[in-house]
Amino acid sequence: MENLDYMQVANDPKLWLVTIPIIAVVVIQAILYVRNGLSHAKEADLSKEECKKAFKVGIVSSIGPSFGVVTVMLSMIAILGTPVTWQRLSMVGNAQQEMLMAEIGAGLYNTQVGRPGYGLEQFTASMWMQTLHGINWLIAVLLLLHRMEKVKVRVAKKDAYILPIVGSAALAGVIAMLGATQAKSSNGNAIALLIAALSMVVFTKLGDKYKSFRKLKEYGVGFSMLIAMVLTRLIMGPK
Amino acid sequence: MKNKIEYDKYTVNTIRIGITTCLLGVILSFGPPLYLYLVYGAIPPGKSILSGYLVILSMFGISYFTDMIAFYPVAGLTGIYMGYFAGNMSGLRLPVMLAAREALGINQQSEPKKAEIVGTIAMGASVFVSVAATSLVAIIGPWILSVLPQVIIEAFDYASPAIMGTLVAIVGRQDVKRFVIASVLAGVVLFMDLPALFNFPLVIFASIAISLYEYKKHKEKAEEEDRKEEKDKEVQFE
Repeated sequence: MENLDYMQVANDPKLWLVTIPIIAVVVIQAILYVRNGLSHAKEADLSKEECKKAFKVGIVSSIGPSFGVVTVMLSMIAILGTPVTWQRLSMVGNAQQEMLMAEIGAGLYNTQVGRPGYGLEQFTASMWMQTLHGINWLIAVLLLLHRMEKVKVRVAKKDAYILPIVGSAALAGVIAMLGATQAKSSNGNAIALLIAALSMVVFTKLGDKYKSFRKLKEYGVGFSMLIAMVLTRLIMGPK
Repeated sequence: MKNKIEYDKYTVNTIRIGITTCLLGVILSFGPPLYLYLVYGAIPPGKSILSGYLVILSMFGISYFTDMIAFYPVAGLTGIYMGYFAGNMSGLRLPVMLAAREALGINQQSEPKKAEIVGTIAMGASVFVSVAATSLVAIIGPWILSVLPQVIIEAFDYASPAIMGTLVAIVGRQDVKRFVIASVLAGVVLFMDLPALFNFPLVIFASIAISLYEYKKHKEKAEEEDRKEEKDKEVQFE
């Protein structure tokens, strides 16, 4: 009985009224930033062609990963309702983190999302955890980011090479760690990662060498993803 | 105020837009929880919220900041403001940014301004796509599932590692030696099986430390060689 109650609330159409505004801000922010970039593109020696290309590559490369959210989103909708799922997956954080937060909320009542004992109050707790986690990211940015820019300018004045080195090292660390975690998690994931990486290298090298393969390099991320996903599924078979 | 840093218009705009939208984001985030309280009277007890918050802090407290430190040099101001707010930084925003720079053959070290703007445009595009995708799914989700062949649906389980693979390729090719070192570090850390909280900061800082150490050695070597040249010149003139 309790379960039905909370799902009805979770799918309350009026919830859209409180979730749409923030996603509107997300989209407006993106529009403002793209406009800011475009209006200063000439100063940076960027041609209109290059800007258009950047936008095209942005769109095409996003399609694959965005639809990867599809399957997660559908299972989340089944237990957290559509409005909140839509909101949380369209902004801060990613699907795994949102589910984790929801579970932490449920855990406060010694239950799990969608299981017996998970009712309206537990659903609310899940949402509070998701909200708090989300704003933490934003607060960290608000507190620190503009200061980091100041630090960057000062350090760059002392030694122009240090920041790029720190940056590249940090990025390598993050990607290596993320990749290693993925590879360790399952054979299928390790295979997908490997195939995608190899495809990406091949496409980039081909695109660099032969003019006719230039499109391959441009959309390399999308192609590599597709190939890796499909091949891995064929190799690993049904779950 | 002495030592005031002059920012160019682009950066001023970036910070202004970022602070405004993120502040709005913090406020609007409370929409759903407040709605549930006002309309249904549903709210967890303060103690529970607090203890939940502490759990979250213990898991992610460091990540909020180390992620910023790690991604900021590559993503830039705009990349962080947008990437953090729109979410999915390492799985979507960052790959798209890097893909655009790669496609246009722009190197961040040699053409930072170009790289910044190209990254911004591409990331903006990714926001439009991701919001469109989630909206599409919200509207016709179940229908999509019923229409797609089972093989494709199962293939999407591998979307995450696939995207990571492309990132590995892009970042790895930028400096193979550094990436190999980072991968070894990552392997060691995973093997040590520490609480997940420590993994990322450890690898990030170790990678930075090693790179800075190598840079120092390189600088010292270069300075030594300069000094030797000077000495040789002196000898010539004697």
